Amino acid sequence: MAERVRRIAGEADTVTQAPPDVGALLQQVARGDEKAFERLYDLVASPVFGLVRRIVRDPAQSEEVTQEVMLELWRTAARYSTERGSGMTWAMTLAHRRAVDRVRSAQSATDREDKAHRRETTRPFDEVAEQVSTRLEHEQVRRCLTSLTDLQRESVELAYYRGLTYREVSDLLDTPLGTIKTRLRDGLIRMRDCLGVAR
Amino acid sequence: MTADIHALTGAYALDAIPEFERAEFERHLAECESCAQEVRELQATATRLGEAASDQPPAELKSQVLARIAEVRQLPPVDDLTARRERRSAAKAPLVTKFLGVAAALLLVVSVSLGVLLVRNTNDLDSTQQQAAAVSNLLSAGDAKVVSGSTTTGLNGTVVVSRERGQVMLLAGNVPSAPDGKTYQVWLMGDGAPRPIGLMAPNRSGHASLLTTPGIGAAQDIGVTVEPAGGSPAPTGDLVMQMTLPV
Repeated sequence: MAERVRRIAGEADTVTQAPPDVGALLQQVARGDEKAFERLYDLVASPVFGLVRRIVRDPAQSEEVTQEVMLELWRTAARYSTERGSGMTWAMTLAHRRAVDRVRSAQSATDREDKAHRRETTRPFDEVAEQVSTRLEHEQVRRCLTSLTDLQRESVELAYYRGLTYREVSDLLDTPLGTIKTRLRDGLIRMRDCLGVAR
Repeated sequence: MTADIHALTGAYALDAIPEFERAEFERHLAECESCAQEVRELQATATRLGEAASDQPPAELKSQVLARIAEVRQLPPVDDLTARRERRSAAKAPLVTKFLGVAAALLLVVSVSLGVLLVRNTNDLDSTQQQAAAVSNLLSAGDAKVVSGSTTTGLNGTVVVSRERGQVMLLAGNVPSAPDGKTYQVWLMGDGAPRPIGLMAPNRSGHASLLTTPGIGAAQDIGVTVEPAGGSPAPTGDLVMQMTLPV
């Protein structure tokens, strides 16, 4: 706990350097380095906000959740270690969980009616799929998503981008639970191999 | 390891797993290195899906966040011992507060127990039915006493105690999720050093429960603290709830 430079609302660093790695920044942030946190913000805020927004939808709530996630990254930076995966994965896993918690707690009150209702409504996944695929900035991800079977892709998208549980996915797609579990896993494994995610 | 639980790696990596199954699966992960490895890979894969949805937040968010970190204390690192323990025992759990007051509210117990979904402890109560059965079983003890109360923060709790059987059951409601990387840990106090009796996690409805094995001894209080995931050998975090056990 030596020097502590407080930077409030400082300008982003204009000096261009090799983009620092999120994991390395997290390790600096763990030591209370507020400048490193600012760089971390610049790297992760857009992916975090985009993902949260996709799940939560409401812009004001999405900002709130994004802020929570960023503060949590600050708070728990010392708990990050490279053996847990990349820094970006650490941040995005946290972001996804927070977004999902937000929509699920908002939902739980009306869950029962919802469920009864859901069976009668038409499947909204076409709409989701379309938004996802038209807005995907990463060509590779889009290409890999199309390499999945329809059921794999629908299941993965509904779970990840809508924050549904596998039970809800199973309800929505009228497909047995066991099948959905398997499709989620197989779909992700296929994505992993297609994207060349390091083992 | 059953094939069925292994198939949950995908759902887990996508957070598509209900809270109560998540805790169980995390315990499995702590013992299954190949599953943990697969989860890491699938989480990295999911991250790519997330990054593909990138969207710039409003510019003012940055200054808000940077201003707020000045008010947030950072957690210390987890030492090796804690980390090893975390890997061994895994469970996630959220938070409660300080109950005072006494009321023999059997109705409350029953209604709380029906909402309880998750218990991960020395005695695993796997289903709502089992929990309801455990509550009524403990209530049938000749000396069973019930204490209920709520905290200023809106948490409520009920404790069922039988000194004869040496058992305590804690049922808590309106419990928020524990902060990420944290768990609720329950302690018996007032009979020597605090003794850990289990980790506790609320379900989606904010209910959490825990039943001890026999042997509460002369404990006077039951307390709940927030600890690093996996729990601690002695309380280190804030006491979020404390209730006096009836004698």
